[in-house]
Amino acid sequence: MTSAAGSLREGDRKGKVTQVASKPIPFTAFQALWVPGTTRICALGSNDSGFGIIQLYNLTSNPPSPSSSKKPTTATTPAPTKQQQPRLVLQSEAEKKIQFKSGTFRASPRSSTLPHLLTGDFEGRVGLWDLSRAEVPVWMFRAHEDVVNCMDGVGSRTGRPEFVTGGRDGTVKLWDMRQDHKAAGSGTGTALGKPLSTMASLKKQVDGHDVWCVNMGVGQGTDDEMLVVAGYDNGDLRVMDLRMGQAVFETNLQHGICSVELSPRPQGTSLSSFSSLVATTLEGSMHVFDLVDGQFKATTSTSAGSNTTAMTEEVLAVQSGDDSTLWQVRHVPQRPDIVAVTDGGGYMHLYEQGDEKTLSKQLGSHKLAEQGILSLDFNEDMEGLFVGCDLDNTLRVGMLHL
Amino acid sequence: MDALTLQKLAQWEQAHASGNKKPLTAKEYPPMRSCQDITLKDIQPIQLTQKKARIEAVSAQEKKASEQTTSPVTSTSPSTTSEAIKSSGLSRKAYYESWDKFDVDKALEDFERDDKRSSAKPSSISTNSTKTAPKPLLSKPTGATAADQVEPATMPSDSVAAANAEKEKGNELFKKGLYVKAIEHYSASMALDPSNSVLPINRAMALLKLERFAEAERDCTLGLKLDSKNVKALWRRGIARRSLGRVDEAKKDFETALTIDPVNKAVKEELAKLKQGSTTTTPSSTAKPSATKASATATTPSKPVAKSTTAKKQESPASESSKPPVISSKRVLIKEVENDEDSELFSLGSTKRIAAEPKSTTPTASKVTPVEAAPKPVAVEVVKPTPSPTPAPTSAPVTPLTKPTTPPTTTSTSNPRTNMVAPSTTLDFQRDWKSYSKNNELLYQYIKLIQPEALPGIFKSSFESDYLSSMLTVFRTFYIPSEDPQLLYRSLVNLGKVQRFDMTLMFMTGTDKKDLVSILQHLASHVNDSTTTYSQQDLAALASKFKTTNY
Repeated sequence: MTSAAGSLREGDRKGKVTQVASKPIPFTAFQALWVPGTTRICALGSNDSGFGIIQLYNLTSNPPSPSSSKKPTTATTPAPTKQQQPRLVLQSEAEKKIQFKSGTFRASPRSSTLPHLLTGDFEGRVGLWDLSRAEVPVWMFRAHEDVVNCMDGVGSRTGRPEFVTGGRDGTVKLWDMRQDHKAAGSGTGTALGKPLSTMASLKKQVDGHDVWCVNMGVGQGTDDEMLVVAGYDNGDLRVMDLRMGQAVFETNLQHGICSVELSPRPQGTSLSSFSSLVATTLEGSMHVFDLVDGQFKATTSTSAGSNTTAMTEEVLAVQSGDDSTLWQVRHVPQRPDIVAVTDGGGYMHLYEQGDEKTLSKQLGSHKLAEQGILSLDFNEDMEGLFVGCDLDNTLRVGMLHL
Repeated sequence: MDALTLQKLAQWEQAHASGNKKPLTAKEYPPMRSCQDITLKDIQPIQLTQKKARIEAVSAQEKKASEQTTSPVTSTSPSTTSEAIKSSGLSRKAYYESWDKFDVDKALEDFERDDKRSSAKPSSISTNSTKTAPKPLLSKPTGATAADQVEPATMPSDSVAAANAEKEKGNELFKKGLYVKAIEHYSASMALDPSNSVLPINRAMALLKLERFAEAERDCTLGLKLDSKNVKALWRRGIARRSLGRVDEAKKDFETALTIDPVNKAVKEELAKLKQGSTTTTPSSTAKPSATKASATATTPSKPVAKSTTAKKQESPASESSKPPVISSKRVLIKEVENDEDSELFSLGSTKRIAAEPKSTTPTASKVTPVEAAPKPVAVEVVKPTPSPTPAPTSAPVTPLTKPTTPPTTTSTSNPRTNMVAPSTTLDFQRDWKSYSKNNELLYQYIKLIQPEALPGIFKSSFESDYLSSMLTVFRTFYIPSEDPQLLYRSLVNLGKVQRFDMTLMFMTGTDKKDLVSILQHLASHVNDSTTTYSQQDLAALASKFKTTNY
């Protein structure tokens, strides 16, 4: 298409976010994930009745056909040549007894038609699901004593098919997909599975700190190296090196850490090795740590809300406040220097990291929703395409123009 | 949404709608990791002030380099340099460079201020001097010894925490002026945490306030043993030493403090004061409390080189118990006198006496001059308060003299030439006795001054046979004719109460015994007087006490 046909030129659109599709969903989705390699979105969470829900949506611009969707829609005559707005179409739904809290596709290798979904639920169990046959999990075992708050894996990228889970019991546990959890039974009992590594405080604290978020990343590209970043509810941030078997970087950010992510190296270089770490907290502050000379050092801390260079006027006027929770921080996989942060007011703030490892520029803030966006996931095949679900129970697909 | 995007999406959808068609291939993974649990330690939260300051600094200027925000101070008390560097998140170079920006003056001011306010951390440098100070490597951030952190368990954390609690209590009381109680708490906390250098130094401060200079100096020394570079300790010890009169040592301390911290104003002041005061000091001066006051009252040196210091009174605070005796710092005017036996000062005509009575706390001022009969040219005999053990007569530890009080009978000297004061300790008595023993008249006057009931207290356990002899002589010679038998009786009775009197009795000479007999006879003859209260039985008892049976 010629640029004339487009209403905006490339240059103007940089940093702008446009909404592609949105759909209200009948439950609270804690996690909205792209199914890697497909156009499908998986949303998991819990509904009002207290059941765990996994729903699969398809983002398609094809007109809905009666056979492919459960929801009855008015049939329209297909017009294949006409470009249509993509829509989210529910493909399948699974309802389980226990509510789901977290999930990831990253644990399973990518080379499969439909990757398996790893979930963590409110009873501390971890399960693997084949979504095409979602009645019964592939396996399920009890991983934590309390809610599995977060999980992350690297199986799809490199190294070993490992994943970490962080729970409300304050522990971070490393597992391998190949582990046999027979000892733990099928998850019905109370026995815990035995992880490869447990990262926890020595003393059992009565008021231990929840692990709110975890992230994995490979250090310098070797198979053995693995960094696990964990953020806690009291503001503790720990980076643990699994090869060295100790925490290599620890700090406290004063407020509970909602989200952490290690920045991925650009694809083409060593897989999934990172160069910086971003953490966001409850009180509207975002911290960036750079890996310099093999050590982390804090570069900048900033309140995402207090932008001095607002791109648009609307943002300032409807500012949700400097201290709103920053729910998620995600790097754009194809452009690891771009970071997107969502806050409690439904905004998404974009930052670009400069060469000197500082957040040099704020690209913009865009109001995507009325309420905070809990979950954010960028598509690995389409640059800038992301999906998020917000507290309004709405699934939103957007496009970030870079 | 514009067409370009739509098109892109369409392409993407086409490519991926049906997912990855590649067949499942078992990927060769390396074997599973071996189990390796990681034990995590607690992280101390960063101080709020520092943190906020950091965030504000950054948001104000987004592009500033990290040096400005510095030290993300993780308060894990690092015990090694590398740990400190690692935990501060800075690179090694940046960490060291950030120390260049450390403002020592400000830090010292801060902890001076803190100390005066007795806030939570009296001598910590790291807390209030926020942005500029990277986490000090000294792993004893004084107040914050929450040692259950990185410190390998050299100290069980509860005792340190308890030590801290005691210290806090001490600080509170110090603030209120309850120095004695504060000292109790400091002592308790020192017992709990003997390696903390702050505690003895704080206690020293409280002792200084109480003018217990010797103890304060000891505490400062202890603190310096634990932390040899502590400017505060040196400064306080200097003050203590100066107050004790050890000017040279005080000067040394102040100078050492200045080498550590050349810009410390307080130390400079003290040093200046010292230098000024020392011009009026004679080289052989030893105990000169408050040399500075000397210039005001110094007499022009005549033949005997004289130096005087004023004794200043200080009320001990009402809240103080008298259990540990408070040495109030009455500075005694001391005239240093050359040891010249032939000097006219030694002639009885112009003798002046020192009477330093720390017994009671009623203030009376008096100008006193010591008369040294002792061979060595010690200028001052310093008197310790009576409750404390009497030092050996020859050595006199130097403490500031308390104000002298005189027993009510001071003024009763009939001899206008002499100015006698009743003794309060053996030392006084010994000294006076030496000068008067040549002249029985004077001795009589002198002994008359002593309240009989005070006799046991004066002599304690050092009642010599010579004294007994002379007293008996005086009694016989002078008391019998001119004094009340009652007084004589009382004197004898109290004499008998002196410690180890029996021992002394063994040394009685024949003359003594004779004297005793005549005294007793005299007393016996006055048994039925109206003024006498003793009876025959009393006399008999007295006689047996004196080991005489016949009189």
